[in-house]
Amino acid sequence: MENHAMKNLLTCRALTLAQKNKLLCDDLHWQINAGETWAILGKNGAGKTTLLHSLANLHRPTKGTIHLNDSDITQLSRRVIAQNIGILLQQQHDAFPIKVHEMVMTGAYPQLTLFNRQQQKQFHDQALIALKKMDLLPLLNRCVTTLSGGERRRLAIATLLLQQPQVYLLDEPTNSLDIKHQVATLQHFRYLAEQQNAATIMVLHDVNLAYQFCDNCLLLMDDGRYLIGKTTDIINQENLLSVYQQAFMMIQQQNNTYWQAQCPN
Amino acid sequence: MSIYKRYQQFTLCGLCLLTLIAIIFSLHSGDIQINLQQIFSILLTSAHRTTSHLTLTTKIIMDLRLPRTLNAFTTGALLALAGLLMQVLLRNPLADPYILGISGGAAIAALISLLLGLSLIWLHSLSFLGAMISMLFVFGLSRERQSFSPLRLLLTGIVLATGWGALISFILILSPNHNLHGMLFWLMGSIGYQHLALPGMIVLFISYICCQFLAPQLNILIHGELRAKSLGIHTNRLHLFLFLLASILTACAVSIAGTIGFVGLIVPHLLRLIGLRDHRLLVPATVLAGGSLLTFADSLSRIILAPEQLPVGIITALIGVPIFLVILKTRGLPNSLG
Repeated sequence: MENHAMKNLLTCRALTLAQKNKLLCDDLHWQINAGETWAILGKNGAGKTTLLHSLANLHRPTKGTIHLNDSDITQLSRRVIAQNIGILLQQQHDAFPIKVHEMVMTGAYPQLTLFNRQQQKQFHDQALIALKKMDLLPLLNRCVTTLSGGERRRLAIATLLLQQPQVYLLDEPTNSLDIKHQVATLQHFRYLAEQQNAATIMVLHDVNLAYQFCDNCLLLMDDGRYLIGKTTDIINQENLLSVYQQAFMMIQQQNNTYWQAQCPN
Repeated sequence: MSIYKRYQQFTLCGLCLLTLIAIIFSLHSGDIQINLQQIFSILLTSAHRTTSHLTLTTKIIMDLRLPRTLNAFTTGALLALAGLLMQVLLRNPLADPYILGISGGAAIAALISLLLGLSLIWLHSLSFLGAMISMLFVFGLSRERQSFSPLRLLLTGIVLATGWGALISFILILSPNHNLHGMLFWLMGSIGYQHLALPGMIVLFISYICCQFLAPQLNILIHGELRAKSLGIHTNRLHLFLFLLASILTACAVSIAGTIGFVGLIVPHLLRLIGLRDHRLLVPATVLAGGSLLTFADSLSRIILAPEQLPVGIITALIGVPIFLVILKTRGLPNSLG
């Protein structure tokens, strides 16, 4: 465990993302190691999702390279990438009705080989554990189209947990979750990073959640510039103002720091 | 979980039985009464029959009804499988095999060959060619940056289908009266007595095997392209393959029997409604159910107005619509199942 602690999982070199004349991210050098928790913050349309998709090879960067465990991600097969990188998408698409227990099993797809029943059984047990983690066991036989928004979100997270990648890319994981599940979910991802040597990278809109659950932070500005570093170092009033064009108030209480957006008047 | 699996397997067994019944029913129905015992003995002894002394009944079964039955089954299965693939490809439960206008090209080719009075073999091969040309049109027009967007594919296909429809009407209006009956018969879909069942069956068998292998990927692809990609599926490749496969299946079905509506749309849906969701079982179930539906419908089309024959497309809709509506009404929408 110890010697893997600083294992380098993902590396971006000179990564540039642009979309229709808009520069989303300019010349990004970024190294993500096992055991790290990252937050990506930025305004709407700043390129957070595009960056996350690029890391999962769902989007081709304009320039630069991304390496997974020292191999260029564009040279790897999608299956190998899926075995190492799992992504929670912002939206899911359920045109066809299937059951909760069937949905969660889709997470095992990258690991499954054809005709292996033993494996299937093992994943079934793990699927139950993942569903339990997300409080979904009572909904096991429900159809996904009948679930509430938050329940669907939790189901998507449970599916991702079953995938068991090394790198978790989470696009707004707390969307439509109630507060209890927000905290439980982020806590679990933190546990996965710290105890299971995974790396988590999450796009968040809540500065406090980022501050509380992520050790490292990437702030994306509107014009492609970025700030990168320890969350406690780079989240401050000045930087938040330049990222969001919104003033923040720092509240300190019992060694904890909270950030409160200030109303203009 | 295991109860579901049991249920799905049970349904599959039921469909096998249904297929058997449909085939026997089809062999049994016709102008000349041949009882079941005779049918079985003919089928069982035909393997080592000698051409020298063939009875009339043997001839009717082996040369007329059996090829026709096999053609009906194959066509139905091809259409249903094509419908299932289209629904997955377009991520739209309302898609059917004709939605991309592939049958339109086949129809034009078929109508022209009817107009020119070409022989049946020409009719079948030209309509297959027409379907393939139509497919290339959709393919060329809807590709952008080497990938398919289902929406773009759908729009291109629907617009092209409308265009073919206009051309079909144009040809119908220009055609002399004595050709019209045959043309309408073709357009409504009917299974003739005369041609070989083997090519269609080979296509069906090969594509069924492909689909069975693809089934786990189909289970993932229905959740969206991005999701499938992130789980390790080469969606571009898969989309292209599904498109080609569905088109070939449709072209094959259309060239055997004209445009038989409804089977491709309704069969996969019916099976989803009764609780089959895993494509590993949905694929074989679709083949069996589509095949038996069309076999039944074709038998009825021979019986109802005997000795006149009805286009089987009318029958499929007349049987299929009430069954579907009853199941929809009693079992509710798929999402309230279970």
